[in-house]
Amino acid sequence: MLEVQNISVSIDGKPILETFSLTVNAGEVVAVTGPSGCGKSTLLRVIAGFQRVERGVIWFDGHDVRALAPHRRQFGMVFQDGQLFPHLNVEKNVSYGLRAAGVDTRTAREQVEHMLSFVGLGGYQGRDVTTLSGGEARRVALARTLILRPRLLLLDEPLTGLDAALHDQLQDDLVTMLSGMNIPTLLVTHDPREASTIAHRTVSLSLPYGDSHGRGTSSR
Amino acid sequence: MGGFSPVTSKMVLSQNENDSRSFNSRAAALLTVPVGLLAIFYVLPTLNLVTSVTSLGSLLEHLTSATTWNVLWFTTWQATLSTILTFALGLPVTWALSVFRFRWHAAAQAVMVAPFVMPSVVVATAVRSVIPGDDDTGLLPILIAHCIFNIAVVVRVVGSRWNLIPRDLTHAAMSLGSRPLKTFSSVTAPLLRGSIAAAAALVFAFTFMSYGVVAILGGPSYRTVEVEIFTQAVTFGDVDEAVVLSVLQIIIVGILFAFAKGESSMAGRSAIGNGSPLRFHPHRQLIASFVAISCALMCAPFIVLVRRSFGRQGEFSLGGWRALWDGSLSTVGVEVPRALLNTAIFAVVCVAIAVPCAVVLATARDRMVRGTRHLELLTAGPVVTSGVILGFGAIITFDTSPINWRSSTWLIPVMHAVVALPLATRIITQALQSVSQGQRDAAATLGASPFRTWWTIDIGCSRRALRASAGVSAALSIGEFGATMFLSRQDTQTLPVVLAQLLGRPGDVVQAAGFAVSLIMVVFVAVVVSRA
Repeated sequence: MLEVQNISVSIDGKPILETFSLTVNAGEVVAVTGPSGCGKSTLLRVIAGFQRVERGVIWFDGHDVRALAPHRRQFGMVFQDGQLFPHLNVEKNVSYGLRAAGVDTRTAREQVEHMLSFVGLGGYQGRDVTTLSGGEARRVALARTLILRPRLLLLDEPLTGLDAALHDQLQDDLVTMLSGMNIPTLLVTHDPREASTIAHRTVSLSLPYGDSHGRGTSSR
Repeated sequence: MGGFSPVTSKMVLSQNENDSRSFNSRAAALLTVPVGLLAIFYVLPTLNLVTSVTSLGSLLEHLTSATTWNVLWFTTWQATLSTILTFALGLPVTWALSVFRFRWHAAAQAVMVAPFVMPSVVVATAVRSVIPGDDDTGLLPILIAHCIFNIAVVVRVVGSRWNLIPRDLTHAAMSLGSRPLKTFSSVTAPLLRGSIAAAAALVFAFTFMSYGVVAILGGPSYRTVEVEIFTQAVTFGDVDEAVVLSVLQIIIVGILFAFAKGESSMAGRSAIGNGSPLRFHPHRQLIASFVAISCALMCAPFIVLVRRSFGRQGEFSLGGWRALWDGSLSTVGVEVPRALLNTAIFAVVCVAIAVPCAVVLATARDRMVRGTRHLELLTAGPVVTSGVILGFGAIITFDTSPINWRSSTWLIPVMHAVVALPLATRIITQALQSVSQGQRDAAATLGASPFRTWWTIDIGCSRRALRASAGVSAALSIGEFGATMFLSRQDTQTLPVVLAQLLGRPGDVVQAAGFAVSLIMVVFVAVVVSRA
């Protein structure tokens, strides 16, 4: 599935990742943990195509995806803070990718309804996204990405900033959803407990560069 | 004996109330100065202008005359074309400057914004210097000058909004399969809509009110409302026609500014974050080259201006520069040294009037609970009223005893201060509104009186804004052309008036002298703005 092979990344001349390698197999959830500034989010941005790789290769299903534009990779990414489109309501946010892919309005509406129920937000279609609570916004961001059934799911700190009760509830729901969808997933988090609960395997990054030897764990 | 004397909480409250009341009553008394200035030198001339039509029949006749509608039609479509051209060239540059950071980013941004602080007559002269031969007047030069002058509005208004759009928002759209163009139309454009509408309204209003550019580049064939007001009032003495055009312009520009204000405040309400610069883009080099070429094109007219001040192409002469100082231009009714001195003195007096008045108005707008709306409307008035209308209003109002001031030298810098006051007030108001209440409270708990708190905290934190407001006031005074054309006499000419006179005369040396005067103004404004 995903094979990140000896990649090196610098930003403004500062090395962020150095000869880093990682593999995510079919249906596997891999967590990347590490302290702030160690390059966890950069790794996701590189895989998604928003950041250039200086050296190394990124393979997906046997194809080098480095030259592929982000919108052609079919990798779904859930950003830190959700990044919901503030000028669109919940339904339009969730159906955004479907509409970009040319799905007709009626089919998109049906799929949105189903997906919102799946993430526990049935009936939220008409809601203004700026009125959602933190937990609801994360669920909408997740629904917006999952509805496309991406080839690879990239989750950038999806539970950061939520209060303890909401965090635990969404964490459990996330485990259920990911098991149900069977999509290879790369989760970035600074919380080792969260990583061990959600992921099948954890890779640790350390400062100053990414540690190329991920330490696998199997908490689940 | 030092130390605090014991006081009860009731006593403290009572003292605080007395101090606040005393500060507020002093501030209210001081408010009469700027309000009086605006009432006498803005409201009175404007109202007098509006009510000075000789009869209702004359008003209707002028309102339905072909001259009025022809001028209005030309003004409207040239403003529309200017706005479209400004956006067509300005939006790509705004995108590049907002989304990317280059090593020379600040310099590029300064180049794009600089023409806006330059006097409009200088921008017009720079464009004229580039266009060869007899084609240096006409529609195309007007459009180019408007575009160079107003790109700053697009860069500032749309760019500041673009900076607030998180890059991850567009990345999110792309990760959902949206192509770059679709991402722009479905995510970026809707979030920029308010700022684009506001900037378009402002550019349209500025080009609709354009006087300096059209006076220098329009020639005899192209007349906007502003130019026609001056021509009808001064050349033909048709006050009624000038008044009808003035009123129409005030209404149209007023609506445009109200629309722009509404759109920008709506855009401000939906501020969404902070867009960090994009570090990676496959065509980054190409985009950097595009910005560099745009900067070069913006600078080109000003570079050619330097060359033209030393004579026409193919020959080099110091004749134009020499003529400025040796008195030879007195044959065409121009004395550059005197105009230079007048300009400097008027700028200093304008700053001395505008900045203290702006401080009082800004403090009142920041502190007042009631009446802020009226104060805002009063200070916004001169923005929608062009310099030509202000000057025209002044000469028909201040022409009878005891207010027969139309020939008084002091009236010129006072009218400049009226023109500068809205912008100076806006700059200081923004600074005062950004002062945290916590700092004021901390000063009060440390024993500072309301006046001392205002002076040391509010004014102390706003020093940069005060300098900026002084710089902007001085720059506006140096470049003020519309009102000064009405009010200046032979001995009170300023540099813009002299420049227009020189460019209106034939002769290589006179033209070169005009370009040289224009360069002096560029340096003058650049020094003032950089010091501020």
